[in-house]
Amino acid sequence: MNYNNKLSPPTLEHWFGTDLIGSDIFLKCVSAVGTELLTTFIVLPIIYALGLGIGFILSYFDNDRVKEFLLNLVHYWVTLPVLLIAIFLLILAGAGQWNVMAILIFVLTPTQALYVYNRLTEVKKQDFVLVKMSYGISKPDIYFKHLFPNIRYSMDAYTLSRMPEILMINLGLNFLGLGVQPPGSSFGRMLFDGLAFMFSAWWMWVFAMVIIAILFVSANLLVRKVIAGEGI
Amino acid sequence: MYKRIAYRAFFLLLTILVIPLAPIAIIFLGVNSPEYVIKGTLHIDLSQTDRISWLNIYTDFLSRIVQLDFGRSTSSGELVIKEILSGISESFKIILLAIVFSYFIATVIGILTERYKTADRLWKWTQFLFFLPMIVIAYLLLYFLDYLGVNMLSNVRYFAGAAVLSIYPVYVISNALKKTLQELPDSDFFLCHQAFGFSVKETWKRFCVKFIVLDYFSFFENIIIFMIGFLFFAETPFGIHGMGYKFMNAIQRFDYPLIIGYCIFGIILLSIIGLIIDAIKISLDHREANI
Repeated sequence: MNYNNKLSPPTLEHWFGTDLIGSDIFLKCVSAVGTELLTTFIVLPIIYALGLGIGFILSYFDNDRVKEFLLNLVHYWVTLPVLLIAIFLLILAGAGQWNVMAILIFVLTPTQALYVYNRLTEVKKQDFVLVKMSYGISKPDIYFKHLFPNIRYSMDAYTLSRMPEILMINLGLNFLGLGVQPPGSSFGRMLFDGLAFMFSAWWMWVFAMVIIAILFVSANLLVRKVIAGEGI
Repeated sequence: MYKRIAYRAFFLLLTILVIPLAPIAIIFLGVNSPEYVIKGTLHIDLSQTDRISWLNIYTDFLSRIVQLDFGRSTSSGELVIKEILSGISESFKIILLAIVFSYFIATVIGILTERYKTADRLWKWTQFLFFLPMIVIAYLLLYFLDYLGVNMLSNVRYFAGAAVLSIYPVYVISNALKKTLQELPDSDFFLCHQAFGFSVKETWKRFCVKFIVLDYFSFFENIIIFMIGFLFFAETPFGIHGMGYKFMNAIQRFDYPLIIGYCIFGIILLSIIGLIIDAIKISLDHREANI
């Protein structure tokens, strides 16, 4: 940070220029990429594990009333405005990237569980499950040794397909200033700060925007490839 | 068949009952002490906790939610609900335009890509544009319109905002339509009607179009949720003083009554919209009604 070098356009010293308080935008972009990746790679495995656990419990216990209630609850949750709930909870819990991650996990897990449940329901109808049952294999064994391997790959692909969603919500929450707090940096905040300098200091937002575009397009292309491979 | 609606109505009620528990749970769990939020929204001073019970906070918050009384905006001094309603009228303009754009453009893309290979190839090559987050499109569009010398105080900003909001819905609807158009002629549903003696044209006209329209309708709820949720991405760059813009300003000014009011009002409004759409869908679609 150099207060004497505020709003400097890109130079050899500062490749992406500097911002209003003289911070190097290139370094801010590097830090923001780190934030995006860290958020994605922390949230994805956790929602995977939680979704798997809840989905298994829903599918395992055949109490129709409980199952009906829980499934309707998950269906209702899926139709709620996730972003507004996340903002409401963030305002109460306080801004910060760790809170953003916790709330992302909270709001995304139900859809994950619903996916696992639906996949398990489909696989359970297959003949091989009946065969295994006729061998006298216990229910937990059928679930863990036979059903789980059958849904694993499609579940991996589905979890990965949520990457753009996580990136988008994270971008939105950071744009609102509820994620990373100064001196940390995020793309959402960089874009918001750049809005006031849209026409006078283009480097404040152009570089961040190009990196966001690359990040989103790569994530989506990866997801499409994985989905095409899995056929989900 | 109406069990699902009953469940949704029940969960909507449960949501209203649970929302006031959120601040209490957060204080109780020691995550944070959102006293500033409670003081701003409910005018309750938590420093005098010996005189205030949690039950009081809960019942006070709940009664305010039911009455849609979220207090007054700390920055403008206006009633929060009045601020939200004034924002809705502005936002409604771009949401309505965005819905029209989304369905119109997606239908054209869906039909063209299904019929013509060149259009399909072009669509595949340009699809990455739809992967871009709407804020990126908004910034580019704003810069481009300014370059062209367009007055951004004119009505053009509504069209620009609507275009930004409709990026993702266009992608989703057009792909779904294309898939339906490709799969329908080979489906059992189609073959069954032909076996009953209906011609291909008749089957399309009398049965398929209805289900395509119903499928269109099924996107509506998600589109509305998406558009209202990310409204601030479209309104902030173009200076449209709708709900998203006001919400963004409220966060910058720590105007807690307006932020809380907007969130709760949005959650309840969208839940009610979802409930109505589900009810309409079930009453129109016999496939849903008979499950």
